[in-house]
Amino acid sequence: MSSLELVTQLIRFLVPALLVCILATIARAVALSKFQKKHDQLLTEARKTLVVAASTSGTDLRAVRAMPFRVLVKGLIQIARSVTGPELTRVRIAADQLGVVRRAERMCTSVFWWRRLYGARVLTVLGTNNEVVPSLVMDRNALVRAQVAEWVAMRQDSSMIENLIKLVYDPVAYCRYAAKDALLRLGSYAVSPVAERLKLATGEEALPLLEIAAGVPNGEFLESARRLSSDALPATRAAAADTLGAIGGEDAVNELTGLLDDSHWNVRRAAARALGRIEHWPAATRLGAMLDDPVWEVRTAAAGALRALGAPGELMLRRLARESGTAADVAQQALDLARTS
Amino acid sequence: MTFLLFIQYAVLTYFVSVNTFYAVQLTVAFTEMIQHMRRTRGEARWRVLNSRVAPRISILAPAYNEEETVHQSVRALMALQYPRLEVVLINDGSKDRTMEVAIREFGLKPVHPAHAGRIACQEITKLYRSHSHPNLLVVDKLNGGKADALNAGLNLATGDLVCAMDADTLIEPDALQRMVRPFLFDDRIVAAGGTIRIANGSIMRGGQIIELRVPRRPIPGFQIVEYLRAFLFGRLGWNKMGGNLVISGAFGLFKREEVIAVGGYAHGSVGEDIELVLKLRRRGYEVPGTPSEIAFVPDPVAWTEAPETLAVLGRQRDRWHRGLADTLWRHRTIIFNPRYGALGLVVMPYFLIVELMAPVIEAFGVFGLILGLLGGAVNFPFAILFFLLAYGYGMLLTVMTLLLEELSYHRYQRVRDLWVLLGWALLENLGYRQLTVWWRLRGLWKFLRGNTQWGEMTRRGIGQSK
Repeated sequence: MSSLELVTQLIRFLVPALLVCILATIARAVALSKFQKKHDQLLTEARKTLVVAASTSGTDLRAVRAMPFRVLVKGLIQIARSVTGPELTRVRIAADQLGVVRRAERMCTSVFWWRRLYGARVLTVLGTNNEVVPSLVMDRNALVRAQVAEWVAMRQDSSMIENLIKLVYDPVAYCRYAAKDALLRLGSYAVSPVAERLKLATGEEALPLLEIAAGVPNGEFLESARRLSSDALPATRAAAADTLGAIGGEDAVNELTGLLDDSHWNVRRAAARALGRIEHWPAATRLGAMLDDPVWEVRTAAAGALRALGAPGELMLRRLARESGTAADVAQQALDLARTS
Repeated sequence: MTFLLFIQYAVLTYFVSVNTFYAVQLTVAFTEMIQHMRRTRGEARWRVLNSRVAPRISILAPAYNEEETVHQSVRALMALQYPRLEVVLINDGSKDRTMEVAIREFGLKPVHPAHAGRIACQEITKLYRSHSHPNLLVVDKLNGGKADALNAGLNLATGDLVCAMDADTLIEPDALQRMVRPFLFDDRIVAAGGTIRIANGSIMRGGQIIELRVPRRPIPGFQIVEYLRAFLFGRLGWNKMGGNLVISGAFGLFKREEVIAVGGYAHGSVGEDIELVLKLRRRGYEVPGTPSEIAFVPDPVAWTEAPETLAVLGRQRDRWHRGLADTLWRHRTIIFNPRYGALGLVVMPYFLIVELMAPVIEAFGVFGLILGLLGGAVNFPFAILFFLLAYGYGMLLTVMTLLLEELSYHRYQRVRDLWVLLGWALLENLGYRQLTVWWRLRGLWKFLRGNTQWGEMTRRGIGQSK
């Protein structure tokens, strides 16, 4: 083919393609602008009715019944996120009466993960049925599974805790994050199931459970945390130290004092921090000695713990600040920080 | 003459190959955008605000001679919607009153400047904390440049993630909630970049963009088109293909321990941002099991001011190209090295042949074409073919990027702004692109001559936008 023929072919392709793209771009922009205006108007009207529905039972919803699904969802979710208690219940009833809940439930059975995900997200805020979203806990899509965790946290549904604990070990990081977050939000409901699982866990398996235990400290975790403070894995020992620091008490202190001499810096740091959290002032001398630790993070954790001990800690810091060397630097910094807080 | 014709065909083949690759990348970007919209539709991003397992973030904000804007910038950072956020302001030996202003505005008190010193940097002379702003740490140090300032910040930051940014970048209030997402999804992620948009010509109030506009001046206008192409099409396409090598220095989020493990930002490099990303990716191959994936968040998360004069823009593009050349040279042992998998065999060769050498090949092509036309080796239809394949095809890809923007974020609400953008997209190849070739060639020449200067970047300040 000669250059001229190639040029002609190329122009025949490029020019229409360019024109189509330009027109598609402009058409999309025009359509979106019109749609956005209409959408905003409908949303404003919907909000007026839905706000009344939130505050008064039996509100007439005829004015919004025919509105598009996405307008209703947006309006309902905006209001649902701003209210609690009886108002939230009335919003959910309104969502049910408007068919939003039914449609979202149908979406949860779709073959397409994005529809299941969106349905689950809508139901997390607006759903009235406690069966549809939980049934997705073993969904093949990680985002859908994680959304179940969010549902559990929002609904404070303690019947799903065992499933959440399983999700803590999900192969996908986001599911693990969502499950841990949900268990922490469940608070005291999560204590017994997590403590039960922690009794048998060791090494890496214990790590996420210890993180949750440190966030919802309870005496039920004490024995496991003490056992795990001598685990072979340094990260587990450090997490156990955090948990012991959160729980407190004499037994915890004894273990933590022993961990101050651990071979791994992360464990020593966690133990120092934990003793500061418990405000165990008899540890002041040991903590003072740690200001000479070879690892910076351990030195600052020990200094921070001394600050937290109050007067005994401050005395120790002042004494160390008068000496020379790395301990003096860290001690002086801790004293300066205490003055700024 | 035969040799000239051969060169022309070689350059033509190069353009066809590159533009075809771009077309594939654009297709991948479209599908990736669809997946992203599906993943984020209806998400309750705000839940991270009271999550006790969300990673802690430290923002590193280097400042040099910023007495006019430092208090506004720091307040804007502290107002970002993210829990337990730490702001580390690093005064890099300013000669003006930057420190006095910061001390006065935030009630700063001096703290003994002890630190871990894990990364070498110029001496940190003072540290400051604030009673009224406990999440603010101010570092006063001797001047050492942006990379040095960031390294000082890394030594003192305490967050799990660090956010490096430019002093004049305007960050969206929920930007960190969006940017942290990749780290929650995947443990292998070591760094994430977001979309940087250009704020020139937009209407601002209270440090926020309230209405996005397209500037009527060509220089910032062309840059908007370039940025959209680079972020929406380039980086989003690479996201899926695992080839992201650039996180804008204006705004990026990194795992702090991993950055420290690779020695932080390189001194003496004008491309310290791309160099850091390459080190992080490289480490993934050298130390198996370390996180080394780079993610790109397509949501617009930050705004910057684009240069408005050719002189300043030229210096910027010159510096970017020198930075790229410098980085590729520093890590030349990776190129075509099978030990580094896709990084060595695909990504690095791409950046060498397509990104770095593009201005050389293009210049060869254009000059060769002119010589060929004058000498009769090349006929007029061939010249038109050349321009159509080199620039016409590129124009189509740019317009398709604008379509992708409309299908996804539709940030430019006014239709007339879109017409202006389309105009810039069509005119870009008639002079502006050739200028960028010249600047990049100049950068390459300077690199070969050992020039590592930043050059002066004059800015009006993002708050000055209309």
